[in-house]
Amino acid sequence: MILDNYTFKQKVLGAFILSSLFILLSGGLAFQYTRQVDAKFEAVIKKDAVIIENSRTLLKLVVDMESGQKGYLITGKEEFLEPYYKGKEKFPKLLEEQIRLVSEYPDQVEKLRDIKAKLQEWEDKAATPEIELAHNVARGEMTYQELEEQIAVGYGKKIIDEIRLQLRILRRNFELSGSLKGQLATADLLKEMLDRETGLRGFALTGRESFLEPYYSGEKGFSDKFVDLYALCKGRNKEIATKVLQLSDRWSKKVALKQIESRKKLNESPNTLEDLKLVINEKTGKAILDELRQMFKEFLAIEKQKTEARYQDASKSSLISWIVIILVVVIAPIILVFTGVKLSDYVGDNMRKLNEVAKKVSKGERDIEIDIHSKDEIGELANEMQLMAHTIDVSHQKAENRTWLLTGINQLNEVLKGDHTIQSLASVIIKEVTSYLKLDAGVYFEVNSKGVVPLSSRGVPLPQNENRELLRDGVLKDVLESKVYKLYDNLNAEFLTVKFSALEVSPSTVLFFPLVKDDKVLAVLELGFREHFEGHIQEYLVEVQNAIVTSIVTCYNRQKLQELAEETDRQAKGLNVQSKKLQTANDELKQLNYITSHNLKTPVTNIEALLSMLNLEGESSMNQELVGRINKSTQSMKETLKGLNEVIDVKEGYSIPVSNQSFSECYEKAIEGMSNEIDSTQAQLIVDFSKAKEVFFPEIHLVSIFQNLISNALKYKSNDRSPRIVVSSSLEDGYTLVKIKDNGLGIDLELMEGKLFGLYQRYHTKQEGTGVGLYLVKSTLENYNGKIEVESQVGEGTTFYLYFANEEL
Amino acid sequence: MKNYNIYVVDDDENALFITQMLLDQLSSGDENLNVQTFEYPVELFDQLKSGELSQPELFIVDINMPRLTGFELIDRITELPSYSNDILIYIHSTSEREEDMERIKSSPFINGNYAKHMSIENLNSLVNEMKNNH
Repeated sequence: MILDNYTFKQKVLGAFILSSLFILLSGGLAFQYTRQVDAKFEAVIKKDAVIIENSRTLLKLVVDMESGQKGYLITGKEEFLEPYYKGKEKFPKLLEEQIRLVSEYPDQVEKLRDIKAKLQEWEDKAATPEIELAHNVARGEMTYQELEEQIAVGYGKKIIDEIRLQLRILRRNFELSGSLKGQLATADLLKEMLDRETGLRGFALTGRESFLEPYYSGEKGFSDKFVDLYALCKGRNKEIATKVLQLSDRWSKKVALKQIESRKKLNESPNTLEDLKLVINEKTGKAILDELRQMFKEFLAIEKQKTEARYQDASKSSLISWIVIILVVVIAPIILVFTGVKLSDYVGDNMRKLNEVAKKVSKGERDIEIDIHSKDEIGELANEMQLMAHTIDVSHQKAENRTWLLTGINQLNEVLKGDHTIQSLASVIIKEVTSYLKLDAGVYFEVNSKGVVPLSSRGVPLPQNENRELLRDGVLKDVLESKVYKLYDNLNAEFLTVKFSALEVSPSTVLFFPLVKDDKVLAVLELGFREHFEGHIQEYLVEVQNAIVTSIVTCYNRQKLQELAEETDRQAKGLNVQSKKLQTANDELKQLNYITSHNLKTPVTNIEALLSMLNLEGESSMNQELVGRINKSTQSMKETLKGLNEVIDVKEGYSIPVSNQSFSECYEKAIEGMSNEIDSTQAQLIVDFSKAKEVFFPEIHLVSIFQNLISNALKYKSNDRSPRIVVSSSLEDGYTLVKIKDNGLGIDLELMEGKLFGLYQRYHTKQEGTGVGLYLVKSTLENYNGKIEVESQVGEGTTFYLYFANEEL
Repeated sequence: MKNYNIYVVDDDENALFITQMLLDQLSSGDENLNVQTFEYPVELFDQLKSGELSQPELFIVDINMPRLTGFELIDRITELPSYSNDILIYIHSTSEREEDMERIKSSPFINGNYAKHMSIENLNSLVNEMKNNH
């Protein structure tokens, strides 16, 4: 598809722009048509009106011209010509305009040009000649009147009369002077003058040229005769003569020439009113104008046809514009709908495709192909989806791979758990690795000081000695040196036969994988498989390597530790006995410290008091000094004791935790260190704490009390019988009572005089003893508000009654 | 002439001797201090119980004694019908244990406590208190 290269937005925009353009175009077209229709209607209305108006005006002008011309012809008055001239001026202009208006119709133009020509013809053939004629008639008449007027004015007669008068004067003068010649000359001049005047009058009246002859000859004769006369004149006569000449000239100029000119003009005007009437009666003009009017009629008739045509044309335009508008209205939505449908089809189809693909992807299908190749947004989406599917595919594969790896690691870790020996570890490792990798065979070699030793195998019997030698010299050696795994996929048949002779199917590939810890090869896995070595196997081996190596190291360490622990145990057993004894001695010492420091206080304070009471009066200075020194020493001892007490009080006395103690637990602890004595004396110990199981007492003191009394019972056993010691508890009148009865030597209490529990009192001289034990037992019980009592028969045995105060301290 | 009976109980002979000597010094004129010392508290109690001995005006008792502690002795004495409230009981001991101090304070029978050995002045004020009591 060509559209594939455009984006979705461009497509939508394009479609709408195209539709809009079509609508705009159609609208423009419709508008144009409507406007044309408008213009045509307007033209029909306006232009036709103008044309008709113009035609009327033109016709009117013609009529005006005709009637004006006729009026002039009839009356001869110039004012009648005004409409004619006006018409003559206006008509061509208007006609030109009319031609322009109908320029689209050449036949009408032709018609108008004919009209123009016709009018010209009228003008040339009728109007102008007639007017000229009339004009001439009028002018001739006017000249005649003018002439008559000139003559009537009598200006010429006056001048002639003057000339006569002057000439008479001159003649008389000549008469007087007697000059005949003068008289004759004067008479000649007068005669000449009269000829001129007569000739002029004749011409003026008749107009015939023949009358002018005497005038011209008289004029010539006058000037000749005057020269003669003037030559005769002297003085005053000269002046008169000059005056005569002047008058003659004035007459010539002002009268004679004028009259001649007027008369000549009159002669020249050929036409008379009669001529005019004749011309008019010929009716040339009327015929022409009738033709012209006919032409106008035709013109208008055609024009009317044209108007009709134009109207129809306009109607047609209107129809077309309507059609266009309707087409626009109908087609535009169709185009829009079509575009919309196409677009939604396009989008819908692609969306459905995408949706199907999305469903496939969500269902876990990974091999998908999206059939959308457009380059718009949907195409991009499709591409992205394809990529996404691909990515999911890849991640899925990765995840599967990862899961496989993790499962392998976990499984291996699981079998590595537990207390393995090196042998069993090798066995589980080779079993797990080969089964997880689905391998045919595998051997686990331990690398130790003895070399490479096969420890376990799967699918193949452990290599025999000769094979091991072969391996050591061969491929295994490489692996041990390089410390990186080696793959042998083209091992010779012999090697394989030797190696895996027990296998039905020989593996095609053997991998030697060293297990390296801190740059030291701990073991080597030899793995044989038929398939080709694949990357994920290597990955697996690399991943599990650490776990295997760690468990190997742990296994070694545990073995070493176990050996060490056994040795330590042996030593500890010996030490323990010593330690127990030391502990007892230490506890006793602590108690001794505590009790003696408190008991020392009494004698020290006594000494102090006694010293203060000592009366030293009269004693020697030596004695006084001695007492002073005793006093000082006593003070010093008191201070030391005080300090010691504070230390002991803080450290031991009140920091010893007191809580409910189980008699049996403390008893067990007490006899722990006495097993030797119990065994050696074959002592019988009968214990019953059922009546009172617990007591509120510091643990170390309770243990110490049991230790002291039971060890005493064992120590002072009878020589005749093996010891039998009965320990029991009971509740007794506000006390918890513990009874310890033996069948030992017994004590003569009379002999002891109640000093049995004193410090350093020892009853049995034959036995070893510190003389502290009973003192401590008594002191301890008393410290916690308890007490101790004793019953004894010499030779039969002794019973100690230990009273523990019941109330909490 | 008036007689005042004072019983001093202490398991230490020297302590008894010292206290007796000091009290003897305080006897004067018509007032006679009759001081008796006891080394074994049980002995004293037995004599009091049997009526062999009458109740004194003042007891001076040590705490740490064998068999019967000072406190136990006081408990037993005050239970006797012969005991009356105007009998003064004072503790005279080397003990500085907090526990003992607490017990002295809380007991309704013990009038006070002196650290061993008390001075003659302290003993004098004690005797005076006894005299005022009777």
